[in-house]
Amino acid sequence: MEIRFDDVSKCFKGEYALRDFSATLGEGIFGLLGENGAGKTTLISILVGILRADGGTVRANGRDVAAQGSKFLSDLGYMPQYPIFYRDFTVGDFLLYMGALKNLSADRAKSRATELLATVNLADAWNKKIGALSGGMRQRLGIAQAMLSDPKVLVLDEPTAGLDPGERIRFRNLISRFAPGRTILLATHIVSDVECVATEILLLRHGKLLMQGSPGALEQSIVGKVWEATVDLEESCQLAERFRIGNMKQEGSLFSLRIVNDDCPCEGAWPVRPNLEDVFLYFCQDGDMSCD
Amino acid sequence: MRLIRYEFVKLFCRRSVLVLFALFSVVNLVKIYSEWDAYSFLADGSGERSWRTVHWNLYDQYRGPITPEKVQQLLAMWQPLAQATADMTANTATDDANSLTGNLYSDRNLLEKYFVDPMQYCYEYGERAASVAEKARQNAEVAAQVSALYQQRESAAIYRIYAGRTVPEFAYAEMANYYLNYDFSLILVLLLGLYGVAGTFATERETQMDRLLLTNPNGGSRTVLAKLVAASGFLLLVIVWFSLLDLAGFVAAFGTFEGLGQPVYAIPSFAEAPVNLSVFQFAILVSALRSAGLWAVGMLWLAVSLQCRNALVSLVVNFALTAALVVGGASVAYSYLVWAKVLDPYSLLAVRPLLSQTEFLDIGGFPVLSWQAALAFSLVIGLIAAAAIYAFSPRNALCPMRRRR
Repeated sequence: MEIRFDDVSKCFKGEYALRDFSATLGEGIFGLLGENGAGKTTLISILVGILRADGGTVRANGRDVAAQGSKFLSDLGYMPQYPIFYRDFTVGDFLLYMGALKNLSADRAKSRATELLATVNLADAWNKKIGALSGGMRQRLGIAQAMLSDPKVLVLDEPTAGLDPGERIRFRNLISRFAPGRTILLATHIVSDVECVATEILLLRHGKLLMQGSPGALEQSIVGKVWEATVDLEESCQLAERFRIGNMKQEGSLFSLRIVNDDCPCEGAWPVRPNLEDVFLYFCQDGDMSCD
Repeated sequence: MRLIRYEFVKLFCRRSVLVLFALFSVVNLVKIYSEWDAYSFLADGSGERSWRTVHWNLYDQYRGPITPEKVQQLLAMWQPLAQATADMTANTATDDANSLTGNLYSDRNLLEKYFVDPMQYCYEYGERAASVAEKARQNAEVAAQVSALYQQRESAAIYRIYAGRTVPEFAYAEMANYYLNYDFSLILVLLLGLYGVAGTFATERETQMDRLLLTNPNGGSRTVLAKLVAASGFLLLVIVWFSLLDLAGFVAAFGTFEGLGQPVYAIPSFAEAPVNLSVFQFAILVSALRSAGLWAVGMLWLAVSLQCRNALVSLVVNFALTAALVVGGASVAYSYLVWAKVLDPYSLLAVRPLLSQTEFLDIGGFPVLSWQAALAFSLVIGLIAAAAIYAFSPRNALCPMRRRR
């Protein structure tokens, strides 16, 4: 399914949370990357119908999603930020309930729930209360409920928030497994969540789309703007005040700095190959940079 | 149906609700037993000369139709005792072989409390009711003469209620009296209903589950409808359960079903009841009215819950609302402010202020019994609240009947 945003805007109390956002998403995993408050959740909320856009249109396969109504919702799987679900529900009951909400027959919901629980490695948790699940298990349950109706569009809002590194990797792999034949929009402010799995990255800042492209293309766009330098403590402090530092590592009495800057930041610095974190830092971590 | 079932399980099969349900049931039974133990003179054990044993032995002789023979027989036993104890000079021994309970004063009290006074009340009730009916008939005639149409209709209604009322049979009425005047379970019902229902919408918001629900085809208005039905079912269940528990508790504590078949006006505190029903039928009516009252209050709770983002806030606000309704209802319960009584759904929950006296409301020139008006108003309040919840609950912006957020 192709999702197309055209000049989508949303204001809250006179402030733009999203401004003239235009993008096209085909099949694959699309990482929506931006700082907290960049407009990711607003964009997602408009896509899934929780919020109404003040301007612009969202189309799915060329048709306005507002005109498709619940038909579009049937093709949609959504996992909200920090899902708590219902503590007193068992995992099985919760999925059957979600099946009823998604208009699935009881039999279909049960078979699909069983199948998905096995996929997300929760096969033994059918009778477990949701309140007894760990954060990672709950996230996996979240993706299972989103996948229940076998949706063509899967929207995940900060799906790895609060997960430990192991669970985060497991979750990333899970998303990759579900990707074929689907459009997956994954909003996050954690670069590593999308770096390895995303087909394309949409970089969002102050409600505006800064860039869209494959991770490689984005990295390519800042070639020659990422530097490394080995300096002493005093100079490292001076550099940290003047430049955006991607990484600072102590090596004996010296410090190895990774600096994102258009020009060589100091004598002895050498250019290095950029990664997606550098891209994020270059475009998003400058408080003075205006997006207008 | 599936949605309603899941909503019911989700909202009301929570551990805390179930624990409260069980706890309140036990507390209610203990309270009923304590009522019996504290207030009934028959709760004095099962010895041969206990009031309980003596009462039930005598009762077999006097139960059923009140006949001149039974009256004579009772008076023949009671009058000598009354005379002997009138000047307080009778034998005060507690092991008097000539007495039923071991003491003459005790015999007199037992006979007066459980046989003479109740039988006299039953015997005379027909006459009193006939007198009320006759006065109502006369009032209707006078009102007709002066073209006071409403007064004529009201008097005619009073006549229809009281004409032909009699209590032809004598029955043990103590249990029925305590049962019909028992209010403690009402507090439990309100607390349990409030706890169960108050968080219905607020909890979804608090946990942000409302966002997830809205993104599903059946997660909007159908889910709201399912919540309304599930909450109504829960409130009905609470009322029915505690009504049954009250009845079972009183029957078990007093050890008898006697009195349930008597007309409700055979219980002195319901002498002016506006309905001609047996005690058992009256209890069913009370449960039905309480259900309507609790449903109306429940819909108000849900409406408040819809506006709150936090379950605790919803609980506190709803508690305050309930307290206001209770205080308001209680302050006008036995006043002549019939309108105030009728407009407060709590009156239907308390019921006694509406059903222990015959009072009317002038609606368009027609006399409507206060309990019927209260029932109608509560249903209207509940329906308006339910419709408002349905209309103003958040909807997915992509679906029809959407509203601007």
